[in-house]
Amino acid sequence: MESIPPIPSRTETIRAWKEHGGGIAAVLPIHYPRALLRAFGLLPVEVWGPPRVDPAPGAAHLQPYVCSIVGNALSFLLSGGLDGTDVIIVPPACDSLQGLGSLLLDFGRPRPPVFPLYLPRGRRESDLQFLADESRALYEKLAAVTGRAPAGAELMERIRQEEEADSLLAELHRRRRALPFSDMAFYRLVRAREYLPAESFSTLARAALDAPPTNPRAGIPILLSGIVPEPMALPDAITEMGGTVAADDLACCGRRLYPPGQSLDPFRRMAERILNGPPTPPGVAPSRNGSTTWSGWPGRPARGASSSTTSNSASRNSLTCPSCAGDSRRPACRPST
Amino acid sequence: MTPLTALRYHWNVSVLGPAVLRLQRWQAQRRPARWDTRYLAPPLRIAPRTKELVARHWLAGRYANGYRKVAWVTSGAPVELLKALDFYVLYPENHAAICGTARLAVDIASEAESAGYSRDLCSYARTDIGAVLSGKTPVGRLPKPDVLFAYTNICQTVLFWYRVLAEYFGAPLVLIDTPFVYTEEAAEHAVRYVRRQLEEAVPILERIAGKRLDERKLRRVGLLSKRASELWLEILQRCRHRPAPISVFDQFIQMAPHCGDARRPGDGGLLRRAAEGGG
Repeated sequence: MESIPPIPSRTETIRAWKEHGGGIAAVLPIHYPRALLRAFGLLPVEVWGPPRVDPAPGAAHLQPYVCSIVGNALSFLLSGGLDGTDVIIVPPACDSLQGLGSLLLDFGRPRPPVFPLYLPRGRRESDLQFLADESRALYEKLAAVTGRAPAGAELMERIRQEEEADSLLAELHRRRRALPFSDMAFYRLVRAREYLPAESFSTLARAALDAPPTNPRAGIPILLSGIVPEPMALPDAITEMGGTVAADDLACCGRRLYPPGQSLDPFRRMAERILNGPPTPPGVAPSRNGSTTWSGWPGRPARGASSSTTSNSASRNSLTCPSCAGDSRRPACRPST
Repeated sequence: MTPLTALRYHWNVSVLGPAVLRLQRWQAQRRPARWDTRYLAPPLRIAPRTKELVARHWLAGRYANGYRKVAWVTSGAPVELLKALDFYVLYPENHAAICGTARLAVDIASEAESAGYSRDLCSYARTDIGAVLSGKTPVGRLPKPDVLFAYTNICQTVLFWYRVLAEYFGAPLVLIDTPFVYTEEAAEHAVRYVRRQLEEAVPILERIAGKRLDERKLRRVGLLSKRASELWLEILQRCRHRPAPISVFDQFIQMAPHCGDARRPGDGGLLRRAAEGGG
């Protein structure tokens, strides 16, 4: 069943990138313009926690109710995990991340510079314009740090590279049930987008899509909803219980299937891609006239689908993984991070 | 609006209600409540007056539907736009705080929890949603909103909370997104972004209000609001003195009229006199 090509680890990827003279941008969740960082020779490596760090250093600075992804990210940073990076990007997708950005800028002041990137909450023309302006402001900051000033053509080339990788990612999601590998292998592959250069990811994704398709996997279709599919043994646990993951709206996966942009202005195009991505549940963003009405009711799963909510802390606290009986040191439960 | 609605509004909000509230204030001023804790200072002498102000605001809300357009707003929302268009402005966070002081918040929030809202959600949101679902409130009745006005400066919960309200009431939701300011001053493009959203909101609000925005009126409301904010800041700055003239509890309680409908410099003046020792 497992005909997935070997995926380089995060550490291997970072080492190889640095050996070629590239820089590393540590990026916190969720949305950011990858192409902009690549144009400056920076490889974006996302920091979704990571889940297996000692949470104590971060806990000394944050309230216990703050999201564990943010708590672990701060712990990781304070224990030197991000020392080798050149910049840290904090797009405040939620209050916790917004607070983390503020904490780092006001008190933490880590060695790599910290650049926040505000993501507008709407989908109107004014939001699009703002995000394009925000990306321009980030461009200026990156130019000051790296001493480079990539031209528009170079930016567009990087954007097209990312668009190709994202279209392959979307295709993987679309065909996930007919792909000849398990849900666990699927998530290892799609989450490699969090750190692999777009061109490497595209090569991997093409190889996976070229594998001969199989009959759609049997089992009760499950919709995974939440932030990250962790512990990583969760998909195997679902399979063991007779389910199969049919789709997800996870923040690190299904919520980041960005469509290609339209504009010829690189900053606007990057903004279009982010804002035209899947909406952040629950509900819809305001329409272009600035007003909206709600189209969903929280707590009600879609008709005909089962749903399971996963998050870093909730899954750890409420589920016992059948593969390791709660022992996350066993290989089955090790996340790809 | 029917003549009967207008008559009912004026009788209750302009005649009968204020008379009853004035009487209650006189009684409270003549016979102050017993205060037997030595850990906290007694309530300010202006407390009955503040209570009257706040009660008049909620009284107007009780009879607003059918007479005035109603806007529900989040904290920090630019109510000046709404005031200039004669909206009755309701501030659910303020209402939730009143539920808390009336010791009703747990009961009301449990209505939201029973409907499936997580206890991890902010208690303001749970109390407000619970009040909407159950109709329970210590202020008599909450008027239904004609528009919901969400401002993201306080937190992200407000956006999701107001989406829930928009669905429940079938009311339009106007979003004003305010980028978080990490440095001393907001970036120029961030200011431009908020300004543009405010400009975009005007025709929507005008349509709902059924009238054009009078720029002179907006300017007047803006000046009053600015003056009220300056007075409030001045009051807070008085707390640098030792002993401070008012406690943090007084600050929270006295903030109510300032945050709600009563953004009038006269209220700030009243408080300033209290902070100067006349309270």
